[in-house]
Amino acid sequence: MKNYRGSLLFVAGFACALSAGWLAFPRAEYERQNQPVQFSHKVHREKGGMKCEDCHAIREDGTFSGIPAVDKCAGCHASPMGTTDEEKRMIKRYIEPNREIPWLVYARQPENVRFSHAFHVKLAKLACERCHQAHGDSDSLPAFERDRVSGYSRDILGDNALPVAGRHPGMQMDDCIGCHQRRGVQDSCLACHK
Amino acid sequence: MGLGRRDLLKLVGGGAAGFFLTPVPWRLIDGVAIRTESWPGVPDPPRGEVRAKYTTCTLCPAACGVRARCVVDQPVSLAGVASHPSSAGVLCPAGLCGHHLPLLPNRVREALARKGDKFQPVPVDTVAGAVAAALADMRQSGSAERVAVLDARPGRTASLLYRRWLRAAPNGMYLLAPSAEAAAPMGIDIERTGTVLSFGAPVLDGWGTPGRVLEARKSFRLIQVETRQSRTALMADGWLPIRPGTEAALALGIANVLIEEKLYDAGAARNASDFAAYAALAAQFPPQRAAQLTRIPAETIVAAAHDFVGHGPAVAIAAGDPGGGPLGEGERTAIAALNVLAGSIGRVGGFLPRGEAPRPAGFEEAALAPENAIAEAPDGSIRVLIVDDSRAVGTWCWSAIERKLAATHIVVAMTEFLEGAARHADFAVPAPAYLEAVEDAPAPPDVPAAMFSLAGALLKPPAQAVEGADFLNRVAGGGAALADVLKQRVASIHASRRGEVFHYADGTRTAVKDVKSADDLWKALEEGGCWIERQPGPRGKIRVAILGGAGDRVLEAAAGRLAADAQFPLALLPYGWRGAAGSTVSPIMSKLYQESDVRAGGDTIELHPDTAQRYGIADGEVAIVQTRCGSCQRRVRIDESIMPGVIQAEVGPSASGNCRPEALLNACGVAGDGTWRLARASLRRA
Repeated sequence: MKNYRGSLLFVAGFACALSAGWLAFPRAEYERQNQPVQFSHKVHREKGGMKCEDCHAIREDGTFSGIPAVDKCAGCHASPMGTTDEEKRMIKRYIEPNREIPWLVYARQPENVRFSHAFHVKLAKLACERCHQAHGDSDSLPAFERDRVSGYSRDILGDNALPVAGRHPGMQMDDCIGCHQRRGVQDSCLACHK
Repeated sequence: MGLGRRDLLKLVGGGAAGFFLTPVPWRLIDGVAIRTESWPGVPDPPRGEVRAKYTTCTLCPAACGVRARCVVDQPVSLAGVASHPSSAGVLCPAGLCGHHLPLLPNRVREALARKGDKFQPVPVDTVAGAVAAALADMRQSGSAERVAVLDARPGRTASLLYRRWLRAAPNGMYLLAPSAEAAAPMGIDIERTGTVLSFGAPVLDGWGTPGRVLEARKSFRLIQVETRQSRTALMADGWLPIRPGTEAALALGIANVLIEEKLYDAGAARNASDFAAYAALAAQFPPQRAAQLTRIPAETIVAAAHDFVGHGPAVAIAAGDPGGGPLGEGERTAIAALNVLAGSIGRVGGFLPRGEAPRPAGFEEAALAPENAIAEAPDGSIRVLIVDDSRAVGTWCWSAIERKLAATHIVVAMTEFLEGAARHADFAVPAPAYLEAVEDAPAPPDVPAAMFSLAGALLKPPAQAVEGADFLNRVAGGGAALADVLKQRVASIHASRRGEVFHYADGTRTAVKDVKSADDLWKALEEGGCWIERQPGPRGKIRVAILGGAGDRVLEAAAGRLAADAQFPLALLPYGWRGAAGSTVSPIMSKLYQESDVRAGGDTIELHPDTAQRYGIADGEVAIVQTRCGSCQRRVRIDESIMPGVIQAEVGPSASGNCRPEALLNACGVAGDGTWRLARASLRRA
């Protein structure tokens, strides 16, 4: 027994580290934050009859409208249209004081990156879901998972993050370069970093 | 059964081995690396809606169209405007980084008064009061001393206001900064030019309107006459490495060949009032003599002359250097004369006359003080000097203006940064930086069309910032505000019903006669547009005076600017780069100097290996350059492309990012004609 004691202790330490690294760390790495308003794309699409482009459009000058400003919401929600507490809370907190909703953006890139939606959607014909998942059918917004170390969203890291079932491809520089290489797009630093 | 030391070590060892088989260390390394991008101190622009706004670049006279990508109202990146009539979608590196300038830490945000070697904050009205008191004293005493405005960006509506104010001021004098690229009555039809003979002009490195020149490059041949192997010389079709200071001799040598071989445009010569005198002058410089002076072989000079007129239309360009300052009058006259011989004055592909944006009433030439070079001001005559050298495109030597100041004087610098003239001034008054105020951009000097653009204000200026013209109103206790005069000028353009407006946002054009009101025209220009009016074409014969009374100065310049001097055997050549010589640049630009060899840097000199060996100086060592006027200390770079016996010294940001070339320029000294581009020097290791 004494002969095996040392080996057992080594294996125990090894197993503990593996468990902590593969099971506990993935849960501790990300800080979950709820969005300031529980927005339902499904309700807006099905009951409101809205299309994606009503809020997320590429303008004629090539800029992307991104997430609409609170003015856009106020166009319909100046007073409650439904009966939910969430809508009333949004009107009181953001629309009445004309305060922008501090959305937590899953796809937010670093400041030194310039991403053109016009190039990727219009020229490269990439589907919105390639990066943003099928948000258009969701009834509520998923929690924003912020990496405690880097500060970026788990969606940016994608499969580069820890293996969690159902993650989609990431939006890190390696992902951009990989996709560009597969499609034969010429790369230069200034293409994205201006 | 307790855990002993060895047991504990085995447990920890097992844990450590397991740790490296988990994603933890790799994720931590990656996460920390990404985190460093957003450490405290890294600028964090506002989050919000992204919009494109349009404006015009006023960092240099090229007046390029700008598309600003704004997050909320903050410009975060700038780009050119495709199909812009003059800039053709191009922005230079300085223009691409222009939105950084208002944020730089050395901004002047409040008025400053000199106290000894330092500046202390004072109210702007205190500065205006000091100037007003000096003017009142001059009026009362009937002094012959002068009040002057030195303008580094002539041709603006603000410049008209300066000139009108000076007309009413006691002995008012409007001075052009030597670095100023003043608007000429003619532009170059470079799109249809066959050959460009450039005497030192950085044609392919920021000269004129860079986008337009680069667009036209495929259609013209370029012969570059320059001592140093500049970027333009490298990319030219031919490079004539000339002995420093002998450009006039080469121009006369080429003229001699053209006249002797009757290759000149006889019709154009007949329109010149003094062709006979000019021909007599050129006759003194046969190719052999020009070769002796310039050290360019005689056969090369003959070939250059044939090349010049053989692929017409041809233009000869005499432009100074942003760091080395202007060419002398003698050189300019000798080079300009080649255009008469080539028949390129008033000819398609040559120099074409152009108009000017209509001025409002009260701004006719007769109501304005005339334009003067600094050299025209008598020494010791200026009591009050207002310097507007914000966004100067090149440097200028303070000693050129210092000698013009009276014993008792006030110097006020209208400035964005405590650099250049502001460092010598008694007062520094904050001026709005680029993108902070509505201002106009006149036609670029090289464009053969009348143009007028507005640069809209995309950012708020500091609370105390004031335009130079509005500062003068405070001194005078009233007067038309610049913003009002700009609106009057736009109304004048509208009333003229001439020209058309190019809209930056969609690339369309609208005839001015189709614009409903002056307010609509203002809105179109302010939101991103330029007014343009092209002349219908060459109109009749243009009579010229080739020498214009400057024959003596041409002869003097042709003899060579550098006399032999055993004590100072080397030639010191300052040079610079438009946008970086003498003006503040974005840190991204100075990064070019710090981390690459793209530009030499403002703390270096460049030597040929033989020159360095003769003086026992190795690459990277520090050397002292000594002239009769002073000395400066610089790091040496050895480069085989430098002409032996020449010291090239770049005027530009040093590794620290500052651009303070005073020691170098003072060492060069200012000649009687206001030039400082060449000096005799010696060298020793520091």
